[in-house]
Amino acid sequence: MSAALAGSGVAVSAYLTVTGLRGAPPVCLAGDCAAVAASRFARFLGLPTAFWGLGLFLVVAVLAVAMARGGVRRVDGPLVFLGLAVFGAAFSAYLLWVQAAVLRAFCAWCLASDLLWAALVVAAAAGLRGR
Amino acid sequence: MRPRPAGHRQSATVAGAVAIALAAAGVAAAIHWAGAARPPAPAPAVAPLDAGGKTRGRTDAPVLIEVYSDFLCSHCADFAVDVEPAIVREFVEPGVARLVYRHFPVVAPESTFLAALAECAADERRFWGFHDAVMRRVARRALRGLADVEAAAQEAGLDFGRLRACEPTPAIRARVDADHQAGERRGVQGTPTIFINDRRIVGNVPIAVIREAVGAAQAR
Repeated sequence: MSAALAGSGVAVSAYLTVTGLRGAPPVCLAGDCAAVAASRFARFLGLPTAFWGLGLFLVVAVLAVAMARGGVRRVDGPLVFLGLAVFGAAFSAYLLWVQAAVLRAFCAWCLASDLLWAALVVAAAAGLRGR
Repeated sequence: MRPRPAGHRQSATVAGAVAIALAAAGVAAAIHWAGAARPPAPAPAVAPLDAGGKTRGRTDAPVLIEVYSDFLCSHCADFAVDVEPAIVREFVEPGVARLVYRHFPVVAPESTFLAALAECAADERRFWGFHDAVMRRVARRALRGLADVEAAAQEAGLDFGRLRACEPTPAIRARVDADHQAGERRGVQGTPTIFINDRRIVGNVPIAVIREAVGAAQAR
């Protein structure tokens, strides 16, 4: 479940990263993706903001797969997983606030990413409780 | 002193991990906010606006709209066909803005060839006619070969033979390179990239985004 959520996040953020690097607005199913993608908040440290999300989703996906296979022994996998998910969700919440309060425009892809981070936090908490 | 139960220790560990993650996210958000809120660096000097007739609009217009573009970039063609006419109608013709085309040939080697042809067209004061004719074909995916370029040149009232003779000259190529290098210095990474005064907008954005940026530029 966690790996599937993180994999979906990888797909969403990879698409946004590619469109960001190509300088093209994403295909928008809802909201005003072009306004969000063209804003000064769409880049972070010289790269599309989605690129950093892609990196984090990838790390979380790899960790989720490793935990599912029992391959995480040297660190507390579920705890690290929860920490990464909370980090992603908190940063997503900040970006959601930027869209609502500063840009006054929403991007459906960004909202999908926000939902995935929230779901990952729930999955991480459930994983900790279940052990 | 009685040792704390294992459940308490685990709760404390989880709370600590969550607190560290929230603090790290806060730091990342602060860095992101500071980067986005920082005013952009002043634009370095670029070629004079009236050079080569690649400008549309009054020289005293308060807003400068520069479009870094590639003739072989389909998003650029879509922008040229769908958005630029609205820019001209809403901002250039009323004297609010000047529209300037800047070469940023990155898609294919033929991009530079087309940019050089356009520079030659500019010397004959037919840049925009050539630009529009080429971009219309690219937007329709109908620029497939040299014959289509020739048709575009003829549509703009240009002698294609003269254009071909002019295109490889060092002075023309140097003008294309100057635009490209200026774009790189200004942080252009893809096409189309639009500068509205000092604000950079990336991509084939709808006219609503341009309206908002022009409005903000006028307000400053």
